[in-house]
Amino acid sequence: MPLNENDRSFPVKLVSPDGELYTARAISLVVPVIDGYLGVLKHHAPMVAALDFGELLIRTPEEHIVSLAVAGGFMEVTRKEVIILCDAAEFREDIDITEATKQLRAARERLQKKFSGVELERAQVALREAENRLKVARHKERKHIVE
Amino acid sequence: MAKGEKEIRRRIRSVKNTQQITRAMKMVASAKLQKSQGRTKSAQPYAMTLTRLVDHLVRWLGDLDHPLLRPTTAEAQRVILIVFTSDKGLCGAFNTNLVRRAELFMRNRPEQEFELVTIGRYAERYFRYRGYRIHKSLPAYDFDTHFLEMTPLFELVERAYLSGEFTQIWVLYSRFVSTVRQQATMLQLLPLEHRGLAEQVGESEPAVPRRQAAAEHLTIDLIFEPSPQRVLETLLPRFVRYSLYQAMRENFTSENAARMLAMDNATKNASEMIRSLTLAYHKARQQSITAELLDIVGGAEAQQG
Repeated sequence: MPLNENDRSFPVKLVSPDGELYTARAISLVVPVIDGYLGVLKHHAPMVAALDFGELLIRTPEEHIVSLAVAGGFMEVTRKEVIILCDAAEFREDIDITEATKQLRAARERLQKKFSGVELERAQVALREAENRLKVARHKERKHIVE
Repeated sequence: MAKGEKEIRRRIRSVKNTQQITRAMKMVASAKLQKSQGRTKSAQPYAMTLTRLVDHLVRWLGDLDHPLLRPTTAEAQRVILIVFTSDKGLCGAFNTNLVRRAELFMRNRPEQEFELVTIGRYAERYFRYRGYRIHKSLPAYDFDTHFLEMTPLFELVERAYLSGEFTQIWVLYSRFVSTVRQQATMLQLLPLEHRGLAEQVGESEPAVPRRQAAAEHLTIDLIFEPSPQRVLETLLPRFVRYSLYQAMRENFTSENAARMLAMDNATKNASEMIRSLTLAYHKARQQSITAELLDIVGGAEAQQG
C-alpha cells in the first residue's frame, strides 16, 4: 500500500482466545483501560495497556462507529498496528437486552448471599460483566465521544 | 437354502450395519477435527501476541516478583495433576496413553503427594477404580467451549495454588502433532518457570518471527498503562489460563484425530470381513447346489439302472 500522509487510518485487530473477532482499519479507538478510557490515534507511541470491563469504540475510515462490550484483556500498540486481546467481546448489536437484564438480576441475587473469597469475587465479576453489557447495549442513542 | 448360508448372510448384514456406524463416526470425527483445527488457527494471533508480551515484560522487568512466579521450594510435596481425557471411547489408544503416562509420572516421583483433577469420564473411572486421590472430576470439554466457560477450572487451579495448599500444578494432555500422531505431554502450569515462560505458549508458533518481533520491540521505549507491574499482574494469570485453555484445545483435536483413525481402521476391517464372508457364502451356496445336483444325478442313474 502506498504511503499516504493524509491517510489517518491504521489496522486494528481484536482477538479473543476463541478466535479473531474483528479486523479492519480504524481512524480512532477509545479503549477501556484500568483507570479510565484511553484514546488511540495513528502514530501512537508503542504501548501495552491492561484493559478493564467497558465499551470499546472503533471509528472506521467510513466514519462508522463500531461498539463492543469488552470483558477485560490487553491492548498492544505497535508501530504497525493495534492488537486488542480480550477474554471475550460482544458487538453492541448482538447484545440481547432481556438476557443481559436477567444476567444482571442473577448476579445481584448471588451477591445477596454471604459469599467469601473466590465465590464473592466471581459474583462481583459476573455483576460487572452484566452491568457492562447492559450499559453498552443501551448506549445506542448517545452521542459519541470519539473525535 | 441350507442353514449355513443363512447364517453367513445374517453375519454379512450385521457387519455391514457396523460398518455404516463406524463410517459415520469417522466422518463426524473428521468434521470436528477440521473445525477444531480452524479454531486453533484463528486464535493464533492471540497466542502470538500474548507470548510476545510475556516475553517482553520478562525482559523489561528483569527480576519479577509475582506469586505465580515464585520458585518451587525444596519441600514441594503436594501436587495437583490435571489429566485431560475424553468422555467417549472408540478412539483407539488415546485415553490409555494418557492415563499410563499419568501413572508413570506419579510413580517416578514417590516423594510427592498427588491429587488428581480428572477431565473426561475415562480418567475419572480409571483413577477412581484404582484408588487414586481425586481432587475434582469434570466432564470433557467440547470444541465450542469458550475461554470464559473454563473459568471454574481456572479458579480451582488458582485457588489451590495461591492458598499454598498445593505447591505445583501439572497438566497432562494429548498434544496434536499431526493427524496420525498425538503425543501425551506433561506441562508444569504453576509455578511459572521464569526462564521457560516465553517458550511455553510459543508451541503453536514458529520461533523465528517471535524472536524478530521481540528484538524489534526491545529497541523502542514502551509505555505501560497503568504500570509495568500492573500489566504483569493481569498478564500472568491470563497466561496461565490460556495455557490451560490451549491444552484443552489440543486435547480435543487429538481425540478426534485418534477417533478418526480408529474408525477408519474399523471401516477397513469391516470391508475385509465382508469380503471373506461373501466368499464363504458363495462357497457354501455352490456346495449345496453341487450336493443337490449329485442327488438328482444319482437318483436318475439309479432309475436307469
